[in-house]
Amino acid sequence: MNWILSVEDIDQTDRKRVGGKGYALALLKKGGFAVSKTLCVTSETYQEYVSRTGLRERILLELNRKAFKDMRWEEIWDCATRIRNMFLRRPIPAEISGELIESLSTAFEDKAVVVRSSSPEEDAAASSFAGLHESYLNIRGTAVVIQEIVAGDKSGVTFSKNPNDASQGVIESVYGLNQGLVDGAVEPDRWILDRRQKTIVSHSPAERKYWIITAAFGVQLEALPERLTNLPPLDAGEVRHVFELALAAENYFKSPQDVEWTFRKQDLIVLQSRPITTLSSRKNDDNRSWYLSLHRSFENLKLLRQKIENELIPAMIDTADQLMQQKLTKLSDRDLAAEINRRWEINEKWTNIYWEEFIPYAHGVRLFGQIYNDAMHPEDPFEFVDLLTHSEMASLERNQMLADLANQVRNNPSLAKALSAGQAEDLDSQFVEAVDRFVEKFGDLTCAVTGGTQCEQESDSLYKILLEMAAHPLPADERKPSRGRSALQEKFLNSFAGEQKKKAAEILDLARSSYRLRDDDNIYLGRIEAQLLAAVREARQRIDTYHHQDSHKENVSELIRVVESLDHRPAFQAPNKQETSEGFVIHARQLIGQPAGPGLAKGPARVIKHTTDLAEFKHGEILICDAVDPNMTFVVPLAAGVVERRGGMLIHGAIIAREYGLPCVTGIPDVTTLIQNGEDVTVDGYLGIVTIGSSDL
Amino acid sequence: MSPLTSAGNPRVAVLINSSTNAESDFHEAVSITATGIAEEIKGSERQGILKLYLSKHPYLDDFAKSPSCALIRVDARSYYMVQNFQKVMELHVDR
Repeated sequence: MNWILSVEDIDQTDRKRVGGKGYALALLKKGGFAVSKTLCVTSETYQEYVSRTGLRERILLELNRKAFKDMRWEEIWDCATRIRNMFLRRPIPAEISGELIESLSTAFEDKAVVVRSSSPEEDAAASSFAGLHESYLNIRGTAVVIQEIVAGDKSGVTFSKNPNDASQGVIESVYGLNQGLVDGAVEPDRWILDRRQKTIVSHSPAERKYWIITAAFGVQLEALPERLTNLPPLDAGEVRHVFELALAAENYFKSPQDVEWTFRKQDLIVLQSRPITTLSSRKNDDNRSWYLSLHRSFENLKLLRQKIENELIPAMIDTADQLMQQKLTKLSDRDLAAEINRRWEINEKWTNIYWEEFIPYAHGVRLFGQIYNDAMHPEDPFEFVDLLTHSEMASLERNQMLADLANQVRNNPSLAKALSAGQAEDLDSQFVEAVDRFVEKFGDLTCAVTGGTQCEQESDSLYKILLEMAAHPLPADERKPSRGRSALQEKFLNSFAGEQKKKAAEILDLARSSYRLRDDDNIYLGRIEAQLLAAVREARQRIDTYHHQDSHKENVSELIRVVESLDHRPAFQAPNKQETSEGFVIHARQLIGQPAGPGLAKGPARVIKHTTDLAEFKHGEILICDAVDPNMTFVVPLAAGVVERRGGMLIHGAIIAREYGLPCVTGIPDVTTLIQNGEDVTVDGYLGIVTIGSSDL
Repeated sequence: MSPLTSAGNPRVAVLINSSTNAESDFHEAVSITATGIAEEIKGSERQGILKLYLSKHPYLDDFAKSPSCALIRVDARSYYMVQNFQKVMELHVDR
């Protein structure tokens, strides 16, 4: 079996075996181009590895849990994490690894190498996001190119033909290694050339600050030496030299080429050459690749953390507080209409910040997950989450306030009696004040965020929940820190030494902040939106009161216009209906989602179609919903298990369920229509399975 | 004597299954159990349905035309479909 081939030995029959990148390098070598020492691990090696280790079917089972088109970007990431961990935990069989090690050590001895995948599908002219996944789903396998690192003095990329102007070519170049240019960390100098004359049309110098150079392990970004900052990496002769190289490659491959190259002293070496593919072939309505591309570096996330913790969160709290202090009842009708518009804009502004700054920060958790798994090879690829839970989250603080209120009800039978009877006038004044403080801080539970602008303020639902909580043990008692958390943390940190250990601790700290914020940002956003809703509520009350008074007609019309303009918001959810299909009643018996919180629970289903349904929630029920909104989490301590339509291991519902140690399954399409209120439901949070109905068929 | 009357119970289940006894069955195979009421097809109806049956399975010609062989129809009331290893859906005929 050909586990590994040297580029010199690759011929036409090996094309599939070595993939596009490997084959192009073999052709360049044959054509007399300067290529550094290169070996290709063949796709057959991959096939053999996944067969012998049993990984092939495991991967396919994982990929087929859910249709790819239905997967959210979080689910794609989770799926990739599981598969990545399968590879980490299964060593290459000795027969294969023995031969690979022998070939590689003979070829490279102790020299540093660069490793890149070379898929048989990759670099094909029409490859797109969807196309890549198609080939991935079919597990055609991949080859791997291993090349000696050329520690070039200056490097770059040349497009033999400018995708925007067919008469031109483009060169981009940086000092040091090419990596900085490719991942955007180092700004390149750029030259536009005339293809026919081979002359420079224009040169755009960069602000030269950094370069990437080889280090003891891997590569690192460093400040560019002073003497180079005012000097372009290439002189006119070198520009012409690299352009001729790209034209030669184009001539050789008979199509315009995107060539990566590096200069080692005077030697120009080709790193890779591939056909120029047109970008933006991506389908516009599929924005999952955008989310996945938000993957940030540690340095970038650290800066983002400072901004979020020191600027954005305090500003959000300030904004909500300022709005809260404003006496809406004292505003004239005209001013109230203006105030609603102002609050709408404030809410819009913060929603945008949420998407632009807070969402990318969630990748702190994911970065940590990858580093943890690489170091620990855990059996459970989401074990790393254990190190992040039990942090001080705003929704938990709110739930604690609720628990305290429930405790007052629990210890005071006359209070409970007055609440059950709905006799507001008999309520203890201290208790009423405490409830008011709660509503002031967190808003009316049934009104926040998902309730839209249609919301009636009343305390009945809050009282119902408090009574239900009071009838059962304190939820706080059920929250126990996961066992062995500190041992796990120590084990993780001890797998690193010196500087790397310090960095691992920093990444853990960042991940904890990122995890906590996934919850808090929603709560703070909810507080701001609650203030918009308060103004709308005030307007609605006035409209009702003025209904029969002609004298206020003009002002009312202004208020009505503003309030109605807000109603274009999407509805919370489509009405409940049992799924039918041409004469059949379809009933779900067992559904598969993602195992987002371990444990097994059984109970009657409580399907949440509208936030007002939350008031009916009873202790021991299974919470079935579209998505656990942070402002809904107050019922979670009452629930026996959580099931949601939205998928992901790190989404809000999963985070809260884990905080309370509840079994949780996420990512089941149509779950709120497939399961009916009151049906017996069993939640298997170990396997991600939800079984509906009693045990007999 | 028809096998149905001998058993005395017309309630039957039929298993339809696309598995190929390969590893890939776990993610690819779909299995459907149909439950319903079985009855023998007799009289004038038999000829037409037998023709349909044999167009699908021509090699069973001698077998199906034997006087000792009955043609059975199952009136399915429910289908239980298993796919993706663990997903189970029920389809009940709405009547």
